[in-house]
Amino acid sequence: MGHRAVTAYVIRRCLQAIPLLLGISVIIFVLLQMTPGGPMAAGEGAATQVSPEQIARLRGRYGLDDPLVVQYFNWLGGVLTGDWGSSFDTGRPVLEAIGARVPVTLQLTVVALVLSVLIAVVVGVFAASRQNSLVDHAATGASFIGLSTPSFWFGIMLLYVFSFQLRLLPSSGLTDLRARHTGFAAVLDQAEHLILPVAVLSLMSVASLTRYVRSSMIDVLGQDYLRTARGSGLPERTVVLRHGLPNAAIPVVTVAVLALPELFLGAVITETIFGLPGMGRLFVESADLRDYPVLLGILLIAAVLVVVSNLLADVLYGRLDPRITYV
Amino acid sequence: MTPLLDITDLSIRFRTDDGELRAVDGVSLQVAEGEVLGVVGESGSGKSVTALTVMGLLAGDAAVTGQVRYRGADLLTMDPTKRRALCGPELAMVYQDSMAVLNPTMTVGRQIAMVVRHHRGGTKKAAMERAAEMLDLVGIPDVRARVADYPHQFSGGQRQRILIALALCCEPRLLIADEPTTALDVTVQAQIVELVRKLRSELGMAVVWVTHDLGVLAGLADSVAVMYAGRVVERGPVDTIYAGPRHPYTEGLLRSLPRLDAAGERLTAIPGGLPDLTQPIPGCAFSPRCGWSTEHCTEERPDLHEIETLHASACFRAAELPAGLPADPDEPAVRPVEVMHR
Repeated sequence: MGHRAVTAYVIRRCLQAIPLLLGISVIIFVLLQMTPGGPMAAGEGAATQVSPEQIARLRGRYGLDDPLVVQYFNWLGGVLTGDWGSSFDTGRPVLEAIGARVPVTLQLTVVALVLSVLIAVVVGVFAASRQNSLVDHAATGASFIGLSTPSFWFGIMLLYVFSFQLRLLPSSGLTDLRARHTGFAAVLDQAEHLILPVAVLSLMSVASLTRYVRSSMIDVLGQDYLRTARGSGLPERTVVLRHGLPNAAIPVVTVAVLALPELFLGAVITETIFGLPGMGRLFVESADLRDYPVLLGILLIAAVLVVVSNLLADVLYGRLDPRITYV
Repeated sequence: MTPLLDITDLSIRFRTDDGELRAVDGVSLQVAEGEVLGVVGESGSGKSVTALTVMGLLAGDAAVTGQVRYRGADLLTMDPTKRRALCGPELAMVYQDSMAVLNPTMTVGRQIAMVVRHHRGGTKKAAMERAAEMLDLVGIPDVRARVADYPHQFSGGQRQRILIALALCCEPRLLIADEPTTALDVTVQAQIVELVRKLRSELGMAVVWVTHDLGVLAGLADSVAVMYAGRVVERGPVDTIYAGPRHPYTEGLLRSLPRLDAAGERLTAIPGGLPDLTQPIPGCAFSPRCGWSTEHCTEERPDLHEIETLHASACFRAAELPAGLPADPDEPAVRPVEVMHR
């Protein structure tokens, strides 16, 4: 498989993504406009001191009275030239507002993904190689519970137990505001603040990935080439880990990479529960205010993430399975 | 002298939805150092299951009784780790090629090198050298470039050669070949047989060649064991059996072979099929398909007994066989079927 073929494939897939993303941009734009209320809803309420004239002036300033089509193309033109608009709430440019929140979310999702994959591979492989044992049943049962536990409930339970009862871990925020940590202490402090959010965010992906790893591994363990490896005298450990795992990983990698946008979505709930200043919470705050430019920005980034994850999954698939060629 | 491999009264039973299936029922086989034993029988006769049992590769839920002694030690009661360690340098198996017998995501060079390195140690580079040497030995062209290829990049015949290279890379004392030529066309088949014969004389290993094709064994095997419905029905030196089979089943198998000196004649197939192995068979399992069958055959099971030196048959009428079946218009021994000679 030449690098040139991969590059050509990636370029073609990116080109194919353009109409897709345009379509998504139309849908999110229209859907946002259809949601009840609007940026001026608070001002339009009876008990405020904002006069209808002021509201009309604001609407005019933000172009909210233009026809929808004009609004859309104004926004799209801005997006394409790097001006994603400004927050109705703070007046900050959207990219700046989002950019300030991205690191937290990125940290949260990447840590959660890496952790999920690690746990899922260890537990899944272990359960599969001891199929129908106590360990296997326990793992299957646990992942079933994990899949069916709502994350907001799980988050509140963790808060209750570890923060309020045991007083072991901080309940909210990213840093301890009472102490000014520096250097390694600051890293530790932040890590401590991320433990519970990561646990909540990973719950679903750990559970589903474990099931994928287990079933993929069970499938591979029954393949003839593992019998060949055993018949060559290789110890079971080598057979499972060197011959089995790389093959079992192929379908799992796809699922794991596609879990990335899901985790991103999960961050909305997690960041809200734990008061983390990430993109997820920005989204919730902006949704409350109907801050269209920020909402559109986040939704568009999420859409791009889904497209990129899909592409990444396909490219990785081809790299792991030599039988796949890029066409 | 103790035989290299000594299988005594081996029985293998599987639990199925229809009850217990006796895949192998009291099989005894011996292979001496350097000997080539052909094990023949149709699908379901228990030959492959026997081979896998010797290798310790049978799936978990089979009930295995009897003894499988390799150089005096019983493989069935041996510690699994010790037994696994025998695979490679002592026992090795060549599987029938399919896309799934070699790891699809590992280069063939690495698959062989891994086994070499596990059993013999040394550097990765040296193991890779050995892998290339083995692939060259089995006749893979342009080895230097092809060690880094994946199984799907080879033809079926080449993959079969790679499987042979994999089995032979640690110079086993006993090679078990399970239908290694079945999926191949006749010319490649002949090449593979020639290859194993050559390697066998160079390395001095013993070979158990499992096949449903008696023809393949003619120039290869020293002795033959014919299996039917999980039992050995005839065994003896290959020439003796070819010249004068003493079991109607063996005779039927030989008649169903295409012969170069009888081109144009119709081939004869053995009528019927294998009995249901989940049901008890009181007499000879072959009797429903046998033209020689008498009432005695359906009531009592004939045991394998020696009829001349080294030649044994499990047929009550073994002694009458050479004279041919007495003419009986109602019950022909073999019925001609519509298969034209190729």
